[in-house]
Amino acid sequence: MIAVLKRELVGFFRNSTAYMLLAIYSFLSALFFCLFVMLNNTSYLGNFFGLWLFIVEIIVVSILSMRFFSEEKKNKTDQLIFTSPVSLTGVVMGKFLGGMTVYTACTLINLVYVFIIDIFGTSDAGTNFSNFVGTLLLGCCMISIALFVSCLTENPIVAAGGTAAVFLLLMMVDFVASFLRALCPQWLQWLPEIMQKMNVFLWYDNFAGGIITLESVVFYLSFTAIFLFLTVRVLERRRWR
Amino acid sequence: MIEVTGLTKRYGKKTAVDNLTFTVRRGEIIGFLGPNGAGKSTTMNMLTGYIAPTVGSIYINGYNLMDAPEKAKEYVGYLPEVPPLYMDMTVSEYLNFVFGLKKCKFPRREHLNEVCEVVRISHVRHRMIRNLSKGYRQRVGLAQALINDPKILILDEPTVGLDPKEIVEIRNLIHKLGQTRTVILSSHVLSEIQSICERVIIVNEGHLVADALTEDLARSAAANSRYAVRIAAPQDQVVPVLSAIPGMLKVELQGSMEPGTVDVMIEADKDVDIRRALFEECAKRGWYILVITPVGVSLEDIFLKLVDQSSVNQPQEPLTLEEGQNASSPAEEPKEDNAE
Repeated sequence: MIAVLKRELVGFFRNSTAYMLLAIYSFLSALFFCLFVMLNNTSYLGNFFGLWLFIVEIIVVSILSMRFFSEEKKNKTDQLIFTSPVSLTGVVMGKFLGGMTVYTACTLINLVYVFIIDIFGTSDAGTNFSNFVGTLLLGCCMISIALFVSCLTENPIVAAGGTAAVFLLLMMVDFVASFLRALCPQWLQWLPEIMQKMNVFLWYDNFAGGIITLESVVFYLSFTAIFLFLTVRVLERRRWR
Repeated sequence: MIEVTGLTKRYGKKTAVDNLTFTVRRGEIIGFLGPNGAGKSTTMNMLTGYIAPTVGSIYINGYNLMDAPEKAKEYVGYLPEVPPLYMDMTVSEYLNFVFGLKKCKFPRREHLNEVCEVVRISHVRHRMIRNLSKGYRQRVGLAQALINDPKILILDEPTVGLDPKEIVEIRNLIHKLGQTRTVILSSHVLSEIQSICERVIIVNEGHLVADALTEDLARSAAANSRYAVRIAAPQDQVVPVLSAIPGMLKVELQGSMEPGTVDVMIEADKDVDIRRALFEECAKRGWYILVITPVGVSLEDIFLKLVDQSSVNQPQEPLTLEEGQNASSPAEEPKEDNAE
């Protein structure tokens, strides 16, 4: 796992992928900070973290997904990894932690905005902390989905597009669920309810408001675990096809 | 060292490898031969645990590759057809990564130095892999296969795409490595197999066609002695006169390479020294023998013969080692019986 993690980090930082992602993240987050925090004369960062950064995170994680498994498969370097005496779980965890490292590095850029607010006003330390925790937990979910999509294809562009499509679908789930709620009979009301619960972005609301609930933390961690497990299973299954 | 039983791989309706059974003993250098699409790489990928067989079992040093993959893989070093290299790493970084990936227990620095010395890449250790020539990339690929000091080395077409000098160097290297390890080498360059390997496994269209010692295979195919002969003689008389010599089986006219001479390919019973009778017959008629060259049977001839036979009439009984040396159990059950 450690060897795979190191390789991932070399891959991200040697190939300018990580720098490009940091640049994209810096530019878009700064833009949204100016537009929705500074121009509104507010020190509340909840909306900034809880809505506008989702778009930036979707872009970053989709680009990250290109490098996970699809590029390995395309360059045939997966032959080295899968013929080495290392477990599939170790490989998946190594790649997950590699992705999380780059994602966390991007997230840390937001500290600059917290400092800016602190200089020119007063920021709510509790809300900022919960937002950082929420962003990292949401990142775990997003990276695990990206890993899963990446192991389904050997085309990095398809992996990125597929990952972005999954996130957009998850964002739209809420809208579809409210539409279904109006249409479905009483006995089928559980369906929109479950759909709504699957929206990983909706679970962020508590964190945006400065509240860290056990329910949200457990949801994010279990969602991540399920997708990591599915990734291992898909890789295992691919050997048998 | 390696026991393969009933190995089959199907991709949908296409059977890439069909019921392969063979054993590889410690210290053997085995050539895995077959035309393109014969199932060589698929078999090697299964032997290394990259893909799983549809049916069949693989035991590496007593460990079942399906039940204890991590343990079994510890004994294997694999160089695939395309070396699995990360172009964005230096040779040193790459080998360090493989060292960690394969969970090696050796002293890191000394061991990596040693491996680099063996494959002669010490002077390029700090260069980016993407800047290396194909030959050096192949060497780096070989180095990664050797990192865990494997008892079994599996090399899939290691010299493909290299220039003649690099081919000779890699062959010598494989020969050297084979002195202390079991090596399975796939190739469709037959001279390569003939020069390096002591045993040959030939597959065609997924079937085992032959499994025998290289020299036994050549001996079994060389049933008769053949000579290429150039005689200064009238062209119209050569074939009937030579055909009449006792023990002569076949006289084939090859044309005329020099004015006033005839080139023929003669084939005689191997128990008869046809050269003496040929000399006497020509001397009696005043013909001069200008050239007489024995023509051996190359692995290429055997390979083409076996592959042609198996394509026409498959699946057939594979050619195996002699009694007491048997390394292969030919498939006896019909295909349907091996289904999952």
